[in-house]
Amino acid sequence: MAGDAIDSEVNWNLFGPGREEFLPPGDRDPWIPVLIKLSQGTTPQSFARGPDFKAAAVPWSDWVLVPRLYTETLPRLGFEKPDDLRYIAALVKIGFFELLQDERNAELRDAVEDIALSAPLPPGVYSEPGEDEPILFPQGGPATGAVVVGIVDDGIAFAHERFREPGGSRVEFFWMQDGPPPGPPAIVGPLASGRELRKETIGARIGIDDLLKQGTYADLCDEDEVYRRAGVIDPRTPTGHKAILWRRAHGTHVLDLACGFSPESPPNWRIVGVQLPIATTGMPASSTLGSYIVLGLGYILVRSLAVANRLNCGPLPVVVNISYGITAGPHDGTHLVERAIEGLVLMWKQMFGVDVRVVIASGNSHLDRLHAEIAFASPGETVEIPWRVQPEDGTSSVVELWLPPRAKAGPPRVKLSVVAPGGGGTAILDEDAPPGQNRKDWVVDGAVLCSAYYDHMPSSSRGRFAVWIRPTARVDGAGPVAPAGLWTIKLENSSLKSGEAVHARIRRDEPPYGYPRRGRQSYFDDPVYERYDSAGRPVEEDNASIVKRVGSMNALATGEAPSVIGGVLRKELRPAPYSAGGPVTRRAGTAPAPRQGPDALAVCDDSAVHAGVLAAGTRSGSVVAMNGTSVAAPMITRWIAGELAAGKPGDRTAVRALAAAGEPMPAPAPPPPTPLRGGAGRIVPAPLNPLPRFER
Amino acid sequence: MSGPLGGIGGIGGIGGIGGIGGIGGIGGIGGIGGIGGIGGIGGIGGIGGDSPLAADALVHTRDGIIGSWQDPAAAPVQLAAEQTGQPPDNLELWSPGVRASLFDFELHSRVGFHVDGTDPDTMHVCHLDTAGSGSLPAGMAYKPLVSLTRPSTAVFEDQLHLVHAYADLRPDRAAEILSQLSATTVFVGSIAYLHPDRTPKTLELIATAFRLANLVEMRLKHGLACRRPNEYSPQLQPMILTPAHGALPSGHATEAFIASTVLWRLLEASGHAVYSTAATCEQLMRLASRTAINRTVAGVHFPVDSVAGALLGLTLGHYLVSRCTGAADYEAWSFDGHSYPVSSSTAPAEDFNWRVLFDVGAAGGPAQVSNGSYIPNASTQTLDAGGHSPLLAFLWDKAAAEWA
Repeated sequence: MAGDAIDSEVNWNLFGPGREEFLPPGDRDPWIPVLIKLSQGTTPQSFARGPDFKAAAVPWSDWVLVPRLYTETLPRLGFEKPDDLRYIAALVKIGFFELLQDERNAELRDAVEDIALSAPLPPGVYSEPGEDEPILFPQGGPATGAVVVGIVDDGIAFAHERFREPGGSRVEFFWMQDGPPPGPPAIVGPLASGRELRKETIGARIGIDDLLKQGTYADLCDEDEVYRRAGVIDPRTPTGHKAILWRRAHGTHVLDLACGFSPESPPNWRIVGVQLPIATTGMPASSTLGSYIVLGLGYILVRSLAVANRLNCGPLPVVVNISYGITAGPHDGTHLVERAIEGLVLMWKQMFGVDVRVVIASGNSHLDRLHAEIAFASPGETVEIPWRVQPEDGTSSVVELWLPPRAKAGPPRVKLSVVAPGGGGTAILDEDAPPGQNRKDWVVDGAVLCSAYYDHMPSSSRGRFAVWIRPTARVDGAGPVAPAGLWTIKLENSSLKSGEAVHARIRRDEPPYGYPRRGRQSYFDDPVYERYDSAGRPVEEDNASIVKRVGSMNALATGEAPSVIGGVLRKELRPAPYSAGGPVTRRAGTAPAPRQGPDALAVCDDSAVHAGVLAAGTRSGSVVAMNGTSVAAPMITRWIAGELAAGKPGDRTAVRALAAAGEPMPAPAPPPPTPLRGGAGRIVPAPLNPLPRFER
Repeated sequence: MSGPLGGIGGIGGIGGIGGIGGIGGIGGIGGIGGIGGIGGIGGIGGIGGDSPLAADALVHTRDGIIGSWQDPAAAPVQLAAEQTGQPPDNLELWSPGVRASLFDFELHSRVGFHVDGTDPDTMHVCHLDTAGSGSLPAGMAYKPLVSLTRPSTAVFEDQLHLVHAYADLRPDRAAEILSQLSATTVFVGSIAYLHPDRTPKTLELIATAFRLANLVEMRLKHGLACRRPNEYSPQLQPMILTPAHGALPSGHATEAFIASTVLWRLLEASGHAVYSTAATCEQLMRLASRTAINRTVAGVHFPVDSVAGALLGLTLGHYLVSRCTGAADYEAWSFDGHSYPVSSSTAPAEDFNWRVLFDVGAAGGPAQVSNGSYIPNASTQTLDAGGHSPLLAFLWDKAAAEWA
C-alpha cells in the first residue's frame, strides 16, 4: 500500500524527537542503512536506476545507493531472477523519506513496500570502494571436507591461534564494518564501509598470514602488534570501544565454539568473519543492526566463492552463526531481516547448488519482562499495561504492540492511549488510524515527550501500535526529558475476540557486555507477575499476569530458515532460566507458523553455579567463561559445519533429529523441555575445553 | 614487669592513599624490596629479639650465668678493609638493608643532574666517571647518560584523546591497575621464577634498579614539571588517585622497563636454558609495556609519558648492568619531546608502542633502537676504571649464580 512504508520508527527517529539520538554526532545527513521490501515487479536493478519521482534536481544516487551485491555481483554470476530478491539492504538519505512521503511520487511509493532503519555510521567510516574485483564462478570439483564457517558478531579476535593452521590463518576474509578504511571492494556495498582484511597479501594490503608473521618476535606472536598493524585496535580511531582489547569478547568466544581448533591440524573449515558496528553506532534502542547483518551475510556468501576459487574447488557449503538478537518485532517470521536472510539462502542454493545454513540464538529474555500478551475477555474491556521506565535512561524507550491480523477492514477493534507517571499522556488512538491521524503526542511545554502511533506493517500484514518515549535523562542537561516511573498503556477493546491476542514487546535498550551504558532497560511491571518463588528461586513459568515469559524469543529467530538454538545447563540438564522460547505468533493468512520455538537446546552454562562455558579469550592461550544462548548456538554451528563438510545436509531437520535422538535422557536428567522452550530436545556436546569446572 | 607483649606492631599505613609514587622497594631502607604478597623474608628461621620482653629476659639470663669476668684468650682476625679491586667479601656479612645503602651509594653518588644551558625544556642526567684511584679520584668527568626534553602543550592536548580512548579498558584492567600501585615485582616474578627464598640476590638487584630508577625519574619529573592528564580535562576522572608529582616521564614505565631490562640481562648472562632466550626478553618487555599502558588506562599518564619513561628505564637498566659487569662503555640515550608528533589530517596522535624503542629481534640480540625523530641515535660513552664497582659486581655475580 503506497505510503505504508513510513512508520513510527522513521517518524520518531528522522522527523521527531528521536533525531538527535538516532543521527551520529557531527553528521546531520548521513547515509542511513535500511532494509527495503521492494514491491512485486521492482527489481534491485530497476530500483537502483530510480523510479519516477519529483523532487529537487539531484540524481537518484544522491538519495539512494543500492549495494552492488544485488545490482552487479549476483547478476554477473548468473543470477537471473532478481524478482526473487525483494528484501534488500540499501543506503538512503533522510531526503529519500521526504520523497516517499510526497504523494506525487506514486511510482516510488509503489516501489517501496516496506522499509526498516538501522543505526547509521559516524563520519569517516565510508570510503569510495576501490577497484572492482572480478568474482568468478568456482569451476572446480566438489571439495571434500571443506566448508565455510561465517560469523556475524562483535569482538572477533581474528589472529587468535584457535583460528590458525600451520603456515597461517584459517580466516580467509574479515570485514570490520566500522573499521578504518580501506573496506571491501565494490562487490557488496554501495560504499565501502569499514576495514577488510584477507588471508593473502594483495599489493599494498597486507594479508592476515603476513600480519601474523610480521607480528612474531622470538617465535612468539604478539597479537597486540598484529592488531595494531592491522589498524583494528587503534585507540586513535573514533570508534570508542575496542572489544578485542578486552580479556573476553563475544565474537571470539562464539567463533571458538563454532570452529576453533588447535592450530596444529585443524580441519579444512575456512572462516569468513563480519564484525558488526556495535561500537560506532552505540546501538540505540531506536534502531537495529539489521541492514548490517544482511549485508554481512551477503558478504560471507560472495567471499565463499573466492575461498572456493583459492582452493580450486566448486562452490562451498556455508554455515553462518548469528548470535545476535532483538526483542521486539512481529515474531511471526516476517521481520525484514528474517525475510532478507531467507531470500539470500534460497537464492544461493538456486545459483550454486550448495547449502547455506544459518544458526541463530534463541535469546536470553525469558525472565526480562519485555513481553506482554493481552487477550480480552469481552468487548468494552480495558486493559492497563504497566510499563516501568527507568531514570537515567539516555535512550528512547519503545513498546511495540502487534495486533492480530484481520481479514477485512472495519471499525477499529481496539484503541490505545498512554498515561504518563503522575498523569498526563496521549489522546486515544484508533486501530487503522489513517496516515496523518495515526500519531498522538503528549506535549509538555511545547516538547513532545511521548508519541503513540498506529502503523500498518506491510510485510507482516498486521497492524501495530508503537509508543515512543524520550530519554529520561540527558547528560548535557539541556532539552526536554520524559519522566521516569510507571507509565501505563491503556488498551480498550471493541471487537477483539479472546483468541486474538495483542503482543506488546519492549525494545532492548541496554548495550552488550563491555560497552558504555547509555540506555537502561524498561520492563513491564505487573504486580501479578511472580519473579521469585517462596524459596527465592526465579520462577520460569507464567501465571495469570499479562506479562509473559513465553514467546520472548529473539525477534530475528522466528522465521523458517535458521536453526534456532536455546540454552541448557550441562550439569542439571534443564533449560537455562534466561533461555527464551516460543511460541511465535500466528501469521496473517493461512500459512502455518514457521516454527513453534527454538529447534533445540545446546549448552550455555556448565552448571547453575558455573555460569557460562569455557572458550577462547581474546588472546591465544586464554580461556574465559561466557554464557547465554549466544554460546549455545555456535555449538550447533560447529556440528552443522561437520555435517556440511561431510556432504550431509545439516539443516533444521537434521538438528532436530540430533536433538530428538538424545531424548528422553536417562535419569536423573529431568524430562525433556517443552517444544516451545526446547524444541526437539537437548544437545550436550562434549566441552570444547577439557578443564574440569565441577566434580560430582 | 616489662612492656607490652608482641612488640610495637608498626604504625603502618602512614603513607596514606597513594603510597610513595614509585612501584616498590623505595620505602624503608630495611626492605629488600621483596615480592609483595608472596610472604616476606623474616619469620621462619629468624632470630627475633629486640622486643622489651626479650631484652628483659636477656638481662636476667646474663645475670644468671655470667660468672666473674675474665679477659678473652685471643682476638679475632680483623676483617679485611676495603681495597680497590678486591672482592668485597664482607658484603655477605651485612644485612640486606645495609647492602641496599651501599649499592645505592655506588650508583647514586655517580649520577648528576643539570638543566640544559640553552633549551629550558631539556634536562640531563649524567654519569660521573673517574679514572684510577688515589686519595682523590683522578679524571673526574660527567658524561651524558640520559636526556629528556619535554613536549609542548600541544602534544599533551593531542595525547588527551588517547587517554580518553584508553579509559574504555578500565573495567577490564582494574585488577592489574590496583595491584600495580605497589607490587609489580610479582608480575616480573611470574615470568621468571622469583622467590625471596630462592632468588634473594636477584630480588636485591631488581630492588636496587627500582631505587635507581625512582631517584632519577623523580629528579626528572621535578625538573620537567609536566602536568597530569586530569589537569587538562575535568572529564578524564582517573580511576585512582593521581600521584602528586609530574607526569613525564612515567615512573611506572621507567621502573617496569628497568626491571625487565636488568632481569633480562641477568638471565641472558646466566645462560639458563629457558630464560636466556629471546622469548623471555619478549615476554618481559610485553609485561613492562602493559604495566605502562595500564597507567594510561587508569587516566594518570599520557602515552608520551610512557615513551619517555620506557626510554629512561631501558637506558638506566643497561647502564646499571654496565656498572655491575665492568663493561667498557654504556649507551646514552635521549627523548626529544620537541620532535614528538601531533596529529594532523594525515597522521593521528602518536601512541606509545615499545617496539619503537626496543627491538627484540635485532641482529646482535635484543637492543634499544632509535626512530630517527623523537628517539635520536644513542652515543656510546666509555666507562673508566673508576666507574667499575666491585660492590655492584658482587651483587650481579651472586644474583647470576641463582639462575644456574
